[in-house]
Amino acid sequence: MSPDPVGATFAALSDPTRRHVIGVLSGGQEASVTELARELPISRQAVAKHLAALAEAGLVESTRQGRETRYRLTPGPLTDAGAWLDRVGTEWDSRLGRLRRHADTRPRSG
Amino acid sequence: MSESVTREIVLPLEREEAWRVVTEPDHLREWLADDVEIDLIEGGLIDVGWDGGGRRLGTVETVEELERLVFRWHPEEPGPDHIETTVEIGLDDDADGTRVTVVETGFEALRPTSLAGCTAVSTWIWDVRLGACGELPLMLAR
Repeated sequence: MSPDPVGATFAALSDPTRRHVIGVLSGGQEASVTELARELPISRQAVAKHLAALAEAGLVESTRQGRETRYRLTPGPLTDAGAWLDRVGTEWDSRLGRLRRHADTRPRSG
Repeated sequence: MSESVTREIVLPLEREEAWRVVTEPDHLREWLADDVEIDLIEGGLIDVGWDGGGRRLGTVETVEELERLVFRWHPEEPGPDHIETTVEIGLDDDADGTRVTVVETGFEALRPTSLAGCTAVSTWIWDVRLGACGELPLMLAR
């Protein structure tokens, strides 16, 4: 599990084809690999590979319907401001850590 | 989900010392950023820079000596893609010294239900077309 969910999201989205897959899924529909391959200029195998990478980053999830696996976007990592807030919080943690160390050395001005 | 970030820390300092540490440039350079200028009056400028590059400007909104300093970061760049947030640094007495509480607010603009928030998030995350952004509130509603 990546300790940096924002970084994992970026990494997964660094590939233009994967962004394209997300673009198709962002219509709000679930889609199968076959349906996605029809929308995209790549093979079913390539679609499946990209979906696996996106699922790994928590960006898509799959459900099984009969013989078919259907994929949909997990809006959380993309749209949840939580990842951003986490980053801001981490920045404050490190600033306040420096503040604490600075205070421990006692301020120079008296 | 709360749309603010809150952190606190107790410093082994008297209140007056703690106030200096959170408001004077010489001290702020030790922890807030590599370079800090601040005009400690309401409406004053705070100018923060990092050695590795990067700079942020803000406006001082409230100065209550020994109690509270509030400043508002300006958007990193102009335009609807960037949001303003407000930082409040408050001091309280504590048995071990002075408690410093930092609250950063203003992240409501990141809500995907607002167009600006949608734009901000998607610009930050990936270069989605604005058209797809309109779908995001629907996705969240599911």
